[in-house]
Amino acid sequence: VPSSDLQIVKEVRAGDREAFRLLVDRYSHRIFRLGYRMTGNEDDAEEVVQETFLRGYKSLHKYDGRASFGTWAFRIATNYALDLLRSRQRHPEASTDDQAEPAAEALQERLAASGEIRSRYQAALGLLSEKERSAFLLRHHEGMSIPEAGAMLGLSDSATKHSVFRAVQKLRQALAPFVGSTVNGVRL
Amino acid sequence: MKHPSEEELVLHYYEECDQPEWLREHLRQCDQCREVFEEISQVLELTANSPAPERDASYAAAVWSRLAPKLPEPAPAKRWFRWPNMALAAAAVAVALVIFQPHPEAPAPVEQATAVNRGAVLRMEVASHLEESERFLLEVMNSEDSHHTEWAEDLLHSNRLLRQTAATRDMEDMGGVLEELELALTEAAHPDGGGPAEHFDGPEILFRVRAVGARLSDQEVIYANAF
Repeated sequence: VPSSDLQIVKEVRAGDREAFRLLVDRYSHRIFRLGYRMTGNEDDAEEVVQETFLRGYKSLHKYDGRASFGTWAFRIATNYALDLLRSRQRHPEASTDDQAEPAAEALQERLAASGEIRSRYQAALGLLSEKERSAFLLRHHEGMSIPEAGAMLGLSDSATKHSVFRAVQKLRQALAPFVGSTVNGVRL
Repeated sequence: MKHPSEEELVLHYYEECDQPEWLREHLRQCDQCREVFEEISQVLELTANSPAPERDASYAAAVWSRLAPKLPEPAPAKRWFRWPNMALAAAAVAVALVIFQPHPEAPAPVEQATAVNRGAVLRMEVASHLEESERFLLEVMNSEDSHHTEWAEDLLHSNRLLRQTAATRDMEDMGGVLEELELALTEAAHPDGGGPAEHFDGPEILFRVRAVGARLSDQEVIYANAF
């Protein structure tokens, strides 16, 4: 029978460090995806994953079990990703990833167009404010409700709604050329 | 005709708008709004399909292998009422009580500064006590078993000492929460009788303990910077 997050946390607190691995198994993929979408960079996303679990482990005594460990860890990941972005802004350096996915020669036109959408999307995410980006990603990709995303970000419901709305507005502008377009008769 | 705002249309896409029935009906009737809604939907669907790089099934194991060497050794089981910890707590309370004894012979400026320091020490003691009490309350509220009486007894003992000390120092801001906490701890220490007749309100007392504890912790920083 799978243990609940709280049960696992209790085991870790009781001295079973290995039990923490179950939480890593359970949430590392999702935290990686969140980290990637927040930072737009695989290396940074890996750093988000490592730091999230490390910080989570060290502050496990603060976890009260009211939310899933995943929700709690997402908060850590979101904050760390935002710190990372701020740090990158203060100390700009060449990205190691550069959104340069392998230029798959064999991709069909539709995939090429999808790649362009993805690039535009990542670029547009970079134009969002921290609040807009965080609120949008949590709502849109992580499926959190507005109140849940707001609670994670320390925002009111109305501020969260507005942040999501502003994000969508900016994305509409960035992706307008792709809306309703077709490539070789295939609707994107 | 009243039209929904674009923000409402975005919320409608996420099924979180306040008036879904009205909006659905409106979109059926209003070409202009429907067109905007469809455009918003298309943009959001495009981005929803934008994949993040996938990690394979061995990813979690790789994360763990990098993480495990960095993890500190687990702290001792948090049942802090073990005897060595109890002795430390008792010593801390005793030190606090000694510090709070009056020193009439001290020169006035020193006495004033010392009084401030004594207050700071008491606040630090109470902050630490509230932090432990918060853990205790969370454990009681989250736990299915009820074997916390020993822990409650220990906290109750410290709580009484600190409450009495705070009362002699006219520190009413701390006294209030310590009084409330004492009722809860008394009940937790004596679940089968001897405590208050009504079950204590866990979330309420937890909120108070957290609020006062956070304020005292902030003051700790101020005092630490001041001295």
